[in-house]
Amino acid sequence: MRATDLPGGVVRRDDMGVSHAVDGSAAVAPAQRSRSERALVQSAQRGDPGAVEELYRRHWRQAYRAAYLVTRDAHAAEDIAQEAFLQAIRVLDRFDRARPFAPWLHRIVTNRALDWARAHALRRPAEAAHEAVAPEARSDLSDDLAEAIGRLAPDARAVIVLRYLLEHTPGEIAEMLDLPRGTVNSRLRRALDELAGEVGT
Amino acid sequence: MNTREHAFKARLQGFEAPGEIEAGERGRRLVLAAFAERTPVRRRRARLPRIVWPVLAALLAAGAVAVAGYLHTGSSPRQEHAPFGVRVQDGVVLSLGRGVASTVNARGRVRALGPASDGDLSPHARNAVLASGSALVAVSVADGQVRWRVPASGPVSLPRWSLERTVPPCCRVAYLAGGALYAVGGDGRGAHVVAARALAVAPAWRPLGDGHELAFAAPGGIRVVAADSRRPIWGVRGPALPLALSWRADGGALAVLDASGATLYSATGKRLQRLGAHGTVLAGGFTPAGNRLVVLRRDTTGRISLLVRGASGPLRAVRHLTVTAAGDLRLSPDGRRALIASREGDEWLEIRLSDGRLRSLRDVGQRLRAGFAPRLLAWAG
Repeated sequence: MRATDLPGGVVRRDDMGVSHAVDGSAAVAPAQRSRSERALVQSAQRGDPGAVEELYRRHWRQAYRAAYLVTRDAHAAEDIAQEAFLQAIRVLDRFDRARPFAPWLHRIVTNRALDWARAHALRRPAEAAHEAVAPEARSDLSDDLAEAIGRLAPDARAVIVLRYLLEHTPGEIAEMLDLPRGTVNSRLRRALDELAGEVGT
Repeated sequence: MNTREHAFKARLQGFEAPGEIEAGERGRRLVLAAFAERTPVRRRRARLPRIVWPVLAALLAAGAVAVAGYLHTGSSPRQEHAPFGVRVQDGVVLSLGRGVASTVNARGRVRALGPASDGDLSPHARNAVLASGSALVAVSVADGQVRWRVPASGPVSLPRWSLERTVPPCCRVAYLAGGALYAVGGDGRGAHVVAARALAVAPAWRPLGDGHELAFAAPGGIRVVAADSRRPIWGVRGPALPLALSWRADGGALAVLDASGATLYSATGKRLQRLGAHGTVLAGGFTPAGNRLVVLRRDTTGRISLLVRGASGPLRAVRHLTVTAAGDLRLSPDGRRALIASREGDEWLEIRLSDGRLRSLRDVGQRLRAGFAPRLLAWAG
């Protein structure tokens, strides 16, 4: 991979010729960035693979990171994020262009990641939800922040990720997770309190 | 967001997950391959045969006369769409999409009723009651005209129309506003506070009850009161987070649903039974006719299933669904079918309770002109 300076930030190009911003997101050319999401969905519905690729590049990173932070498992995160995009392809023709694409995708990703994390916790009764990260998963953790989030219960991880990574409001989160809004707010407060000592926020 | 939240958000936004670039490239190839293989739906432009044009002209003329008649009487016709192919088996369904409540009947006829955030239908689906900002609005289903409007102290939510079999006969509407529980007559008169504090759970009118008995979730427990006199009838300590309340059709049992199952109480408040759902309960209730208890559940693997319990025994799965996000569950007036709104695709799933047979109503939002994945508010008729 080599790094290249382009308008809009430093990017690097991987072995497949795909450009990525240094923060891990796919780099987006200015002309493409200006295309509205609604126009992209419309083009994709008309069969334009370029529009699908652009939607993918815009949303992959956040979907993957969200799934990873909830599951703490890179393989599961990849499966979950991929499956969410494949689901988007399956229902593309029926997708309402007036609706934003990202919340719909985030709902699927987060709920699937949450289901995976809950099922994983049950399959391994010795590993309680608040217990330390399992040894095989620990190698995937890139810093203390992910490790601290990993020590939260799966439900708390999901609301933290939806609020502070994917930037949804508590009302939107309540809708996405089928929870009362007050429950979302209390989980956010508790999770932040738990994380305060860990990550110094 | 406060300073602590901003700091945490900044740290999280800079987080990079391991392997994301490589995984992203693998996913990109997979998604593009799936896109290349898919069969797009061809959007046909309607072409009418020449013979249709004179007929169409005549229909338009007739429509113009009808509109002129409405204008002459000083009222405006509500938009009524022609059948779009979404047909429920019987009765009328009240849906909500793009902030507008609409009804669709067994012939697929759609009528927009007005702006709303929630709503319910009267027992024979002749009227709908809509939560519209800080007002409760009753609208005629037949012609879309507003029958009455009751202002409230705050945003109205969870209106529920009483059943016709209550004593004295018909009708009350219960609703929440500003954290309090209210009831008003079916003619829009006599709005009064039933309880100063109530949780955001739909109140439930007891069928065949004496004096409009109403169950609701109060802080600390479930309460049943006579709505007109506010006389307490009974109360129990309920779950910390009740999900739904539902009376059996004969009024002999109340189901209190929470995230993990349902607790059944007798008409006098005696605890009868606890039914575990073995997963997370998403929605549920008794059928309006018969004695089935129906629960929509997500199990620990993420699979969503429809569970049914007859007169006795445990909850049993009658259908496993392939959707991963489903919300509203409504039961047919005859108690034989369930209608579930998928939040993942733009479809409603109609399921026969006796054998789990499923019929998918696809593109429902598009057909109802109600946006993507409209909500299901009520089913009556």
